[in-house]
Amino acid sequence: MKKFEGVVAVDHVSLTVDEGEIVGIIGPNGSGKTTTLNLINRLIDHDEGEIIFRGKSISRAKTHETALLGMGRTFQITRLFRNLTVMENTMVPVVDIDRSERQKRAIKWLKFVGLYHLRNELAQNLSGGQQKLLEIARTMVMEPVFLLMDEPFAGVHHSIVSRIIQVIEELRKEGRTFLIVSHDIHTIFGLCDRMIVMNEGKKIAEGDPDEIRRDREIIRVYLGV
Amino acid sequence: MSEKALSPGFVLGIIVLAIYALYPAVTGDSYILRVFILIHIFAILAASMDIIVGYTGQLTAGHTAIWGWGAFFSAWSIMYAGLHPFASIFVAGAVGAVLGLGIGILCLRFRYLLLTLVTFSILILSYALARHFAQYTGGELGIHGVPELASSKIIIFYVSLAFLVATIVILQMIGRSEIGLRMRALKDTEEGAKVLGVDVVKYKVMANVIGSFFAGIAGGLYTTYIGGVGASIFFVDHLLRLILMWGIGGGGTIIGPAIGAYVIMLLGEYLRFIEEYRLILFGIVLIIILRIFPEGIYGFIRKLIYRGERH
Repeated sequence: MKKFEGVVAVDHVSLTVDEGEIVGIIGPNGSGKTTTLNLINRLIDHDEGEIIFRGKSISRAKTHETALLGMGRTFQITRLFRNLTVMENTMVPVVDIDRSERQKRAIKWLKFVGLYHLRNELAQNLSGGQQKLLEIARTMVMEPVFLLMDEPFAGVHHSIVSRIIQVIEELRKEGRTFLIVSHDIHTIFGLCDRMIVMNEGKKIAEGDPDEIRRDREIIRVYLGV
Repeated sequence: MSEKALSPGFVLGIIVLAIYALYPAVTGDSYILRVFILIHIFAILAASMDIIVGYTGQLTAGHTAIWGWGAFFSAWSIMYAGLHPFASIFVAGAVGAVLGLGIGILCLRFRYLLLTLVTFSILILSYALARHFAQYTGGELGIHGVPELASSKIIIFYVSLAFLVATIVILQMIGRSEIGLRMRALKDTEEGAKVLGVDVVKYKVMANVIGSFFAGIAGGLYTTYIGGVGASIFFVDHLLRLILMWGIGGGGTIIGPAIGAYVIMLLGEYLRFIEEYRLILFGIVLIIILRIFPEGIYGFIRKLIYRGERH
């Protein structure tokens, strides 16, 4: 649970993500989706409850420690290092391998997301979609097993949305796990194995995409009809 | 030799440094020597502030406080512990590092203007302490008769120049390493750095310790050159001058603020005749330079040298 000055932002939400799964979180604005992600990777402290990652409690861990444990994170508004080049952005992650190996890994992921040709460009000069892809590439240099993605398709050209979906699907084939927050209902229903619906800080439904799609209560909450 | 070592900037830098190093030995002008020694000290101070402000974005206003305490500890270590002036410079560096650690930890909770205000209050507190404990610090009049580093100004010129070159080389190496990269990253976004495994607290404190070590060194050099130190070392004028050096030279480059020290100190010397209006003029110069060269003088020089090349 998380309160902000008395307002309950996340109210007794319990959720589990199994290895290799893609789970989506949907809900109207202010329903607590991003706060839930921030609680999971410890960007904010929770008031009550526990966060378990790969069988261990990370309730007291610091954000950088969750990253070192294998938890990756991307943001709705990208948190790129705007004054560093694309290549430098991918060299920042703390990984326990030598510099040349890390460089190889950075090049691999930049090629994977199709940004290698822009490696010497400052991150601030990239388009919104390219910035999203760079954030994914940068995160992948750490080779996380679990990725928390906040609105990966928001404000992105449809050709880049297709590329991001492709990247997520390819990464899932490698056995990675995803928890994705998105407003893009069409995309997320097609991508996820399981959906969680939030409203006013609470989890109001959970199930496979078809099940959720048919739920009248969810349609009412989400679409207001 | 690597391709990087032969870059135009590197070659130009070596030529300028060689001519500069020969100049006082050829002329032997004691006035010029005095000005350049002080410039070396301020250039070390400005470059060391850059690793804190320019690299990690911590807007400290307490850097001259560390410089001042370094200067006092240098004097005390000579007077009470009988250390050689040269050794006392390293004592000052160590004191600076310890103070940097303390201030770095203390200031973790503060950001932006609040951090500036807190660190500025450290400077004010330092001045008050130095005045209050006059039996140890000499108060406004200061401590006098501290043995100098050497009897010859030419030797002090070369020693201070060696310290300046070493400071710039070491800070540049740190700046270009992974440590520097992560410092620059967290300056842009701390959240972005944290989710990539960067221990932001560690890097911010590390920047304070490193920067403050060299500020202490500058303090030690100051005492062992002047032959004394007083509470006036904590005057706000020094801080304002340091900020001008940083801004005019080009923050985030290490060498830029050192160049800024030359510009501000030489301007100060040549503008002595308008004494009370000097700071006003400095302000105008800063605005003009930042308007024309937003990346500072060093940024402009780099652009000229590497025009057409991609970095």
